[in-house]
Amino acid sequence: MSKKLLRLLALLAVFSLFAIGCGGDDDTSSTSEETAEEATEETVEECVLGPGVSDTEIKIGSSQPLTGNLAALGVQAEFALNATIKRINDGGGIAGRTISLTVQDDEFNPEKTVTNAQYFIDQVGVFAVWGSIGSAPTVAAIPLHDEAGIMTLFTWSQDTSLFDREAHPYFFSLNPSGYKQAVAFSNYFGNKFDYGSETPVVAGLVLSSPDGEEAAQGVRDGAAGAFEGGTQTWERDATTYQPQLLAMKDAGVTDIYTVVGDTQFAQIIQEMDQVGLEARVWGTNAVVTSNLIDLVGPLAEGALAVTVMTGLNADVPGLVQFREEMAAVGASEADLSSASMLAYSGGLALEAGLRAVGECLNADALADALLALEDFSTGGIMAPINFDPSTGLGNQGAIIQEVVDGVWTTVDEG
Amino acid sequence: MTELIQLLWSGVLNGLCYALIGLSLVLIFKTARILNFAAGTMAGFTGWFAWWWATKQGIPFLLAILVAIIMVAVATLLIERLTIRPLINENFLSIVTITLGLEFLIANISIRMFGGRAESFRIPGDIQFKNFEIGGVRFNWWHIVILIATFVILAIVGYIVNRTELGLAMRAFAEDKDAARLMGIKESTVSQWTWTLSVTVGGLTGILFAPVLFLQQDYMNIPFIKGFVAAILGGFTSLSGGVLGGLLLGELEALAVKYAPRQAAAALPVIIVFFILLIRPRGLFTRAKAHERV
Repeated sequence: MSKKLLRLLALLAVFSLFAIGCGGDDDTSSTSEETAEEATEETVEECVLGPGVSDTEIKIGSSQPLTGNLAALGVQAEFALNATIKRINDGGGIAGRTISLTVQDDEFNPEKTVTNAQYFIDQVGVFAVWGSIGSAPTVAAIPLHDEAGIMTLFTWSQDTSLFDREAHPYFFSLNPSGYKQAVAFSNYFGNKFDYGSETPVVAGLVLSSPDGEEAAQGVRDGAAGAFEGGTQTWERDATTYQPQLLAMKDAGVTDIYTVVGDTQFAQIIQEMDQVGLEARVWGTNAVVTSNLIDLVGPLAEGALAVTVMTGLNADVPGLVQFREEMAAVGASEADLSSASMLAYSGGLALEAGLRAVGECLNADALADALLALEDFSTGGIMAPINFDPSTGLGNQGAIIQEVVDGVWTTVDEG
Repeated sequence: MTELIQLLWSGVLNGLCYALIGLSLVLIFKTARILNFAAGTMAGFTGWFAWWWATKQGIPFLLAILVAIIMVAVATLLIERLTIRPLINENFLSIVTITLGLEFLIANISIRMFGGRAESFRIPGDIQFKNFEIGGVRFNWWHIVILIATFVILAIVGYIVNRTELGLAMRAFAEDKDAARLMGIKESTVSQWTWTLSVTVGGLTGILFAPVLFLQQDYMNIPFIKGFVAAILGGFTSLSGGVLGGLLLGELEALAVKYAPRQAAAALPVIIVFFILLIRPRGLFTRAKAHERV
């Protein structure tokens, strides 16, 4: 009985060993399969395409003021976006993908920009929103972009809060904050500009908003702050600037730093003449348009601007290419402006970034590729581009332009 | 002193714009109890249209203004016939909604016709760029034209309202609609001509201020809002009240920039208007009708 029991136990043991052995084989087999699956998953994870990216297409949106008082800028920017897309698509696309662009009018109204952002995300399914104009519209829309994981690229906006890649990891810009531009003006004015023998009085004329206050603070913080003559603010619903200009006249202001669009700048120049305020007037990128000169004619002569791009009359290869490509999409000479040059320069950086990324395109990959660009050249349109990892700003240059003989002319670079 | 006069003059200029838009709004409201939310866009469209005739078609400046005004007036007659009159006895909101729709429609037609780019409406002799001084106070020639034109417009509107049969009918409707109907006055005729008169006043304002504000697609929207405030300030049923309300608002805005703290300058005129309306809800320049006072 005990022998039978022993045999049975031995048999069980053999079966058990066999079973364990077989089980061991099975386990080994399944571990190998899991490892392979994990590896495949890792490969897939590495190559998760971003929203709006398919094997053949990259969808991009742009919210522009195509109507309203900044409409000229929106139309000009749209031409530049189309020029870039034509260049890329005509060249066979990037990694087998062509770019499709959807442009929506926002009338420079933040509420409409938010609606457009929702449309881009929910209806179109874009990879990025590119080249939109204005601080308030961008500030309003960017939380939606961030939440949806889509990129906010090369907007013409200068609100300081945007330049924070911890808050907005997919924000990249070639246009410095309003504060930084105001400091650039102030330092140029205080350190390099020949203001003559009389002590200047420098005043800011800015929108009554946090954005405007930052710009005014930038003037104070730079070298021109030593000549500060006060700040005047205007409201979005202002009809004219005459009361502000009269206050400046009373204060003996010699130089006015403004943060306005080209039509408003034209109105300021016209009203300065009407109230007899003889002062130099300085603008930012937004005023460097031929439209300004068309609007006020000879009164525009001597107007100055602190910009991040060269003048249209500069002899640089990037401008030649810019003109050719803009003409190819039907843009006229009047459409060549800061707005179109900024959007176009952004397009050059975007193309370089997309080519560096290749097939596996998503927001993180493009962000890394943009950050890896070193001294990227726009052919002289702006200073070499190097994106700051903390701010997303790629253009640290400051160029001074002046209307000379009816043309915006570069008078200083640095 | 010259500084103050210069400041007051800048307030007058803005005030004239608000006054004319206020007048345009009051004309319709007083007679038909309709708020025309398309008034600003219609005014801007007329400005663009006059520019188009003068600049793109090359016809003489004054003729371009005349053609633009006549064409917009004819279009207004049609719009009134097709969109307003069928709803004339409907509730207030229906017609207000129609005017909002008109605003949208006209704004879109305007952008298709004239584009998004800002334009300068050049006056013969470029007089918008020419200034002169009297006693140290600087005046612009085009601003003087605006002042004179405003007085002419006010005089003509005053004459029509107070000295013509149409004006009598308008006043009758403003006073008591039912009684006016019983007297045999045709409401459709009054509505038609009131709209035409109102849009013509607004259109002339759009033309007068195009060289000041530059032609942009929405360049008369802000004056419309200010004109609306002016009309409320004036009582919304008083023609002279709308005009005076506009001038008062213009001066308040100018003086606030000079004398109020910078942070409060923008809000101050609105706050003052708010307190005025708290004290006089009917507006500054209207009196309650006798039976209401009783």
